[in-house]
Amino acid sequence: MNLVLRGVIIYFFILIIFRFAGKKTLSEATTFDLVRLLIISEVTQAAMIGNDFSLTASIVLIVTLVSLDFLVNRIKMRSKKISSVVDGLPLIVVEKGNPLKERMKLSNVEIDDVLQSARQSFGITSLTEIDYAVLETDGSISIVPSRKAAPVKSSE
Amino acid sequence: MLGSVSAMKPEKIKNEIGIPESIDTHVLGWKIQRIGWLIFTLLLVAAGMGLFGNGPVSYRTEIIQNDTLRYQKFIRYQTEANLSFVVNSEQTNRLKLQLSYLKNFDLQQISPEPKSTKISGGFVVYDFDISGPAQIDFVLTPNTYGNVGGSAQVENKSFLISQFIYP
Repeated sequence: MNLVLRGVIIYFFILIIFRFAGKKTLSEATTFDLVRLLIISEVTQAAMIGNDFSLTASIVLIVTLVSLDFLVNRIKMRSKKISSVVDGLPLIVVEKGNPLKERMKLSNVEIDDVLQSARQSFGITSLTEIDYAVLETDGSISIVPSRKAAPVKSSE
Repeated sequence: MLGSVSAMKPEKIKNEIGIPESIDTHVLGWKIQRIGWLIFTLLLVAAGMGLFGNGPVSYRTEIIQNDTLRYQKFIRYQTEANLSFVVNSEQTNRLKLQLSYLKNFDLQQISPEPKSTKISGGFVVYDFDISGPAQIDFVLTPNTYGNVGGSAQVENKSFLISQFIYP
C-alpha cells in the first residue's frame, strides 16, 4: 500500500483509538503505561513501514505525519466544534466541595485522583477545600481551591 | 455496555468559572465511546475466531474423493499462508495451480520439492516423486490484497480456491 495512505490511515486510527480510550487513561502515566505506549509505537511502526527500511520511506512517512498534524491543528483553530471532537472539552467534576459522582463515573475519574491532584498542586487534603476540580482535555485534573483553603508555604 | 448509555444523566451545574464545558457534547462523546468499545469487542472476538486469519473461521477444507485441500480463506498482506494438499490416491504425482492465482503470491517453499515444474495451459504444473498418501505444502506470501481466487488440480480433480487478503 502507498506509504502516504498508510500514514493517513494509521494517524486517524491512533487519533480515534485514543479518543475512545478516554482522557484519564492518558493522564495516568505509570511505568506500565509507558511500556504499553512503547509497544503500541512498535506495532504502529511495523504497520506503517512494513519491510521497507529505506531512508525515503522514513522521510515520506515523517512528512506525512507532521503535515497531517499541522492540518488537523489548523482545522481545530478554525472550528471550535472540530476542536472539541478531536481534543474533547474540559469537565467540572467537583463543585464547591461536592463530587459530581455521575460525571466522575462517566469520565472514569475517582475522588482519589482529584485529591491526589489537589495535594500535588496546593497541599489540599480535603474536598471541602476545593471550589472546583476540572478534568482538562489533556487528562490532567486542575484544582481551584476554595477561598477558605490556606495557601501552601514554601519549605525554603 | 450500551444499557448504561441511555441512563447517562450527568449533573447539571451552574458553571460560575467560565469553563467551556458543554455537557451535551460530553454525553454524545461518552455514547460514541461506548459504541466504540462495543465495536472493538466485536473486532476482538472476530479476530479470535479467525476473521483476520489464523482461526477456526478462516480455514477451509475441500475434499474431492480421497484428496483434500486445506487453506485459509482470510489471509494478510505479506504474511505467509499455506496451501496443503493431502493426496491419498496411489497414482497421484501431478499437481497444477492456476498461474493467474499464483501471480498474487510470492512462492516461498514447496514441500516436498517437485521433481519438475512447467507452465502449460494457464497452469503451473508440478510433478512430484511420491507414491501413496502424501501431504504437499505450498508456503505463499501474498503480494497484493483484496479478493483472489483460482483453481488447483490434483490429477483430474479440480479444487476451487477463494481467499481474501487483508491489506
